[in-house]
Amino acid sequence: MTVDAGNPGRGDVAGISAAARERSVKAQTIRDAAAAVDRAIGEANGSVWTGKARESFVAAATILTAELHTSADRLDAEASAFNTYGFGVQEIQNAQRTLELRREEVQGDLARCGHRQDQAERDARATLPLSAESDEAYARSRLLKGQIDDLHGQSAAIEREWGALVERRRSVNATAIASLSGTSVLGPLSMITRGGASVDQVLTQLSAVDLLTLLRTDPSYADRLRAADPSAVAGWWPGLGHSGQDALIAAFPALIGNLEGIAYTARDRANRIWLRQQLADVRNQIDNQSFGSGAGGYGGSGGYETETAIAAALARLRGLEAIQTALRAPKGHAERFLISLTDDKPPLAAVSVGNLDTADSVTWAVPGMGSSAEGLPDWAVASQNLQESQTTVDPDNQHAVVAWVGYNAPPVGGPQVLGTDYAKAGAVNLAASLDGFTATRPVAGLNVVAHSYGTTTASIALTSASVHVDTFVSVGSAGLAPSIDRASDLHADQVFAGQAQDVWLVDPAPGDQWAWFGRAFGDHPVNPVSDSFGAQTFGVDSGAGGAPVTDHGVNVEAGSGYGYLDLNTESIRNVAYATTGQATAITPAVDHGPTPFQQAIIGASGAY
Amino acid sequence: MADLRLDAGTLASIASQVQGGSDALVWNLHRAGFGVLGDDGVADAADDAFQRQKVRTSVLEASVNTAAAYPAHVADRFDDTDSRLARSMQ
Repeated sequence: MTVDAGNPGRGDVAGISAAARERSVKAQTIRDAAAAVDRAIGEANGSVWTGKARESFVAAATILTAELHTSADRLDAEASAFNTYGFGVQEIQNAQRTLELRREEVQGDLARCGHRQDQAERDARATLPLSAESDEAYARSRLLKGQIDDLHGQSAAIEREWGALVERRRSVNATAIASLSGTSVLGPLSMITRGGASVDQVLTQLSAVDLLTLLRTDPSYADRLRAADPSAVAGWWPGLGHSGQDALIAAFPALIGNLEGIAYTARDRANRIWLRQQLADVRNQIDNQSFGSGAGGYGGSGGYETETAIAAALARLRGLEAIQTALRAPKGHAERFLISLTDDKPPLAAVSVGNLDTADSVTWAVPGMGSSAEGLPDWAVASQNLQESQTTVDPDNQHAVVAWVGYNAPPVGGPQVLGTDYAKAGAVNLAASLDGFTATRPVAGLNVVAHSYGTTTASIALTSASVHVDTFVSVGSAGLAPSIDRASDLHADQVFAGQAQDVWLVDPAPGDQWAWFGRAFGDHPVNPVSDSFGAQTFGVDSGAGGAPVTDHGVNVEAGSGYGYLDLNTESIRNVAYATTGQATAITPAVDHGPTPFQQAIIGASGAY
Repeated sequence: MADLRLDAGTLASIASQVQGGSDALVWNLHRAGFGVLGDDGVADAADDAFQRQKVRTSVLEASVNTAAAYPAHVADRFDDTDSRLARSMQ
C-alpha cells in the first residue's frame, strides 16, 4: 500500500460509489431470492406434499435461505466498505483541491512580492543615498521582505497540511483494506486472509458453502485440512446438514473420503466416487497410451520408461479393480464400506466389513508382507470371517472389521521384510487411522488384530502417544522391534498373541513356515508369545476349540489346511473371544516341541 | 417413507420459486480495480473479496438447483406414475 504523495486523492469516487451501489442492489436481489425460498418452505407443508423428499427439501432449503442471507450481508458489507472508502477519498480530494488552490495563490503572491522587492531594491540604488526617495524605496523593500517571509510561512504550512493529507489517505486505505478483508465481507475466510488462525479454528467456523468457496479459490488449502484434528472435524461435519455434506462429497471426494473425523458412511460414498474417477482415469490412460512426457515410444530411447509406465498403470488398474471387487459383500453377509482410498501407485485402501458409524466394537485388521490392494479381496474375506466369528461369540453387540491395506508392505521375498522401515512408515498411517476412529466414535470399542509383518507395523503404531485400543491381538508374528519387548509398551488394555508351530519350508509337518524367519533374521526379533513379553497367549493348533492352523497365511484355500483367520479354526475363535472381552473363553496355547523333521536335522536342541 | 403429492399446482410453484433464486445469483458485478480505487492494496483486497463472492455465488447456484430438484423430481415421478396408470386403465 503506497500513497502517491503528489496525488493523495487518487481514485475515481464516482466509480467507487457505482461499485458500492452495484453490490447493494445485488444484495437486495439475493435477499428477494431468499424470501422466495422462505415462502416455498412455508408452502411445502403436509397438505401439499409428504414424505422423505419433503423433509430433505425443507432441510436443504432452510440452509440455502441462511446462506443466501449471508451472501447478501457480505455484499452489503462490501458496499459499505466501498462507500466509506469513497467518502474518505472524496474528502481528501476536496482538501487536496483547496490546498492546491492555496499553494497556487501563495506561489503567485511570492512571485509578485519577489518581483516588487527586486524593483524596490533597484529604486533604492537608483536614488541619492539618504534622500527621501531612497528611504521610501528601502522601506518598501523591507515591507515586501516581511510579506515574503510571511508567504514562505504559509507555504510551509500548506506543505505540512499536504503531508497530513497523505497520511490521512494511508489511514483511509488501511480502513478499507481491513473492512474488505474482514469477517463482515469474507466471513470465516477472513481468518485465512489475515493468517495466524489454525486449521481447526478455521474449520469449525466454515459452512459447506464457505468450504466449497475456499477450496475452489485456494485448492492448496485441502492439504492443510488433511492435517486437521479429527475431533474438530468430527464436531464440524454433522453441522453441515445433508445437502452441504452431499455437495462436498460430490465436489471433493478424495478429500472428504479420507478426512479423519468424518462419518464413515459419508467417506464410503466419497471414496466410491473417487474410485470410479480413478478407474476411469487409469483406463483412459491405458487406452490412449498417455504415459507422461518422460515416456517415449517403443523402440526409441524412451522404450524402457514407457514399459515401466505401462506396468505401473496396469498395476494401478489391477489394484483399483481389486478394491472394487473387495467392496462386493457376498449375499447374506455384512455390508462393506470403502473408508479410505489413496492415489498411490498402487493404491492403498481400507474396506470395512460392517458399518463403522454404528458398530459397538470395531477391529482394525492389519496385514503383513506382500499385502497390497490387489490382495484386498482376500484380506476382506479374512476380515469378514473375523467379523462373523465375533458376531457368533458376541451376538448382542454389533461388530465391524476393517480390512486395512493402508501401508506399503514389504514385498514377498525381498530383504525389506527384515527391516522396520516399512513398518515405521505404515505405523504412522495406522496411528492416524486409529486416532480418526477414536475421534469419530469415542464410545465404541476399538481393537487391532495384526498378522505377520503387520504385527511389526501395528505394534509401532500402538506406541504412539495418541493411540489407545482396548485389545491388540498378534497372530503369526514376524516379530516386534527390540524397543517393544513388553506387552506393557503397547497402548492397549489387553494384549493377546497366538502362534502356530514354527516349521521350516521343507518340513512336511503342518505349521507356520514364515513367522519365525522374520523373528530370527530381522531387525524385529521380539516374539510376542514369549513368556518375557507378557501377552496372554492362546491356542491356534492345540486341537481344542476348532481346526488347527497349518499355514502362515490367514485364509488358506479349502482343502489345503487352515490359516489364522479361516472360519471355524481355534485361532479365529480365540481372536473373536479376545476382541469381545471374553478372555476366559480362550483356549490356552500349547508348548510346541520340535517337529520330527527338526529333531532329525538338529536333534532336540530346540534351536529351530 | 414414500413421498406423496397432494397438491400438484403448489408443488410446481414451490419448485419454480426456489429455482428462481438462480436468476438472482447470475454474476453481473464489475471488478473495481486500481483505476477506480486508486490504490494497489485496496484494489487487491477488493479483488480477493470479488473472487470469493463470485465463487460463493456459483456454489449457491448449485445449492439452489439441489433444493429445487426435490419438488421437481417428486412432481416428475408422480406425473410419470399417473401417465402409466392412465395407460394401464385404457
